[in-house]
Amino acid sequence: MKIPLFFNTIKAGFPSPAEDFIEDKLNLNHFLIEHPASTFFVKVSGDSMINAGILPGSILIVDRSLDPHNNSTVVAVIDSEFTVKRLGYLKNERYLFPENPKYKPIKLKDSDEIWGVVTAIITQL
Amino acid sequence: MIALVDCNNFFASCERAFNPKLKDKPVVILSSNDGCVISRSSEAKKYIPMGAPAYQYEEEFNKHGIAVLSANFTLYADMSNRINKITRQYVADIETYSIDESFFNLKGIPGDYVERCRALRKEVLKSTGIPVSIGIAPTKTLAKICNHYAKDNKDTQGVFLWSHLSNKDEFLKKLPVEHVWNIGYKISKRLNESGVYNTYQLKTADSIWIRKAFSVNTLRTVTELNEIPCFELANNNDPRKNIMSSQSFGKPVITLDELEEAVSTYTTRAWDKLMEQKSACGYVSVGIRTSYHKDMGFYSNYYTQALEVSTWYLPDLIAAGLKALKNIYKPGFKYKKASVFLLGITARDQINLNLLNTDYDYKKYNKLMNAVEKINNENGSEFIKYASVGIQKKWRAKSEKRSQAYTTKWSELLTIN
Repeated sequence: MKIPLFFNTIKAGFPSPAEDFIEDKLNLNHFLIEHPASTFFVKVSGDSMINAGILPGSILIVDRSLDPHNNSTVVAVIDSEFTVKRLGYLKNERYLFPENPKYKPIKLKDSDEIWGVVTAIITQL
Repeated sequence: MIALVDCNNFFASCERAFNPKLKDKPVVILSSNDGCVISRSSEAKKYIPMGAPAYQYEEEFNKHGIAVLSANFTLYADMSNRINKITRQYVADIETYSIDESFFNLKGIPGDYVERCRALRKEVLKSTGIPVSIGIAPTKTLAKICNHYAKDNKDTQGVFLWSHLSNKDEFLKKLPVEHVWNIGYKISKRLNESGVYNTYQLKTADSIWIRKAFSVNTLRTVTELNEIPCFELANNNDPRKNIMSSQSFGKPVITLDELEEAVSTYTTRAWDKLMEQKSACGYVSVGIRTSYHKDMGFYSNYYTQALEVSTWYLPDLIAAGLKALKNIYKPGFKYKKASVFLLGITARDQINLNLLNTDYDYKKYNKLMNAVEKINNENGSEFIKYASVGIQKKWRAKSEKRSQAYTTKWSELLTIN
């Protein structure tokens, strides 16, 4: 006659006092991405934004659903080229400002487009 | 009320979303293997017909400065999922009809239908860069017609409601029957032969005649033209009854070895879909064929191999596929395409355990398959794979002008200055 080994599954000792306090693990996606459907990652190659912490090789999290505000860091399309800059105003005109004294501000034309708003920067050390 | 949201020139629009240089330029997308044109931007439509074989149109491409790209289905599928996600924020009852079309039910949606759909359209365009058109009507068939109307008429701002047509019958009189959803080439030809040319004639055709001369399905289409819904929204969660994976090769394949790699690869792809819907299958069917229009001799055949038990254990599916292939393979031909079908799809809890095979260890195999699926979901398809799928895959389809996997690979992100 075989006896099932029920006692194998009985837990010995006291339960962990931390058991009731276990929550989800930290999830970077949830923390950094509010709108997954409209969020894209892009990689930076230039140095025009180094003083804003955007270095060559940084990866930007860009949300296309957001409306850009004054001083938003944006990905824009200027003369069919992508660029990342800070959006701002000079004498009531819209400009893209670099964060590196080597470069000059760019006045936005009607044909230029704001592609998305940068919401976070990932830079690996 | 049914709405149909349809992406405008979807593949070309996806490419434009990540490549501003393509804006306002003629763009065409080639099928896998760079065979023929499967999507055209509106600027390219006047120069290049749909389905045009790429090698015959090289001169036209150059003459009109047309950008030619290989299909990037990974990107298109990701963009399609994003658009679906946004649409689901507006409506609950939605049927994904194809990669670029979804039907949804507007019943119970608050506010003005046209205004709601315009808002959806605007949000999709802003969030993804993809322009869509939306047709709204009492039936799917009419929603499809309204969608075309919205696409063709700029003043609609991309959204058109059936009841806004001032004279519906006059409009339908100008619409040839072959433009109606589900009226294919054959049916429209036979309708024409009976004197039915425009959609108003079809709408008012005798239903008994339609039922007799055509089919119940054609009668449904006619009923839908009369504003009575017949085609329900399909439930995308229903498991598929058969699963296929098929693709042309990048170069002609002669040896059995290479065909075995292809059949193993396609079987694995089909198995992915089988796992996704948590089904089992009873048969693996394999088809191979040479090219149709080469003077090297034509051969085409298929064979269906039954599995000993209904299963989702990949090694058994691959073994069955390879057995089927050996049955039909003839040396000396230049093969162009292989297809793998999984048939006899059942829910796993409905498997009739074959009495001869009570020792088939479902539990163990299930554990292994779930582990393989999980690892590949987390690390990319074919992260682990069965050796018979091969490594070099010299037969793999050509796609020489494919854009990057902008949204699915860290190594292929859009790079900006």
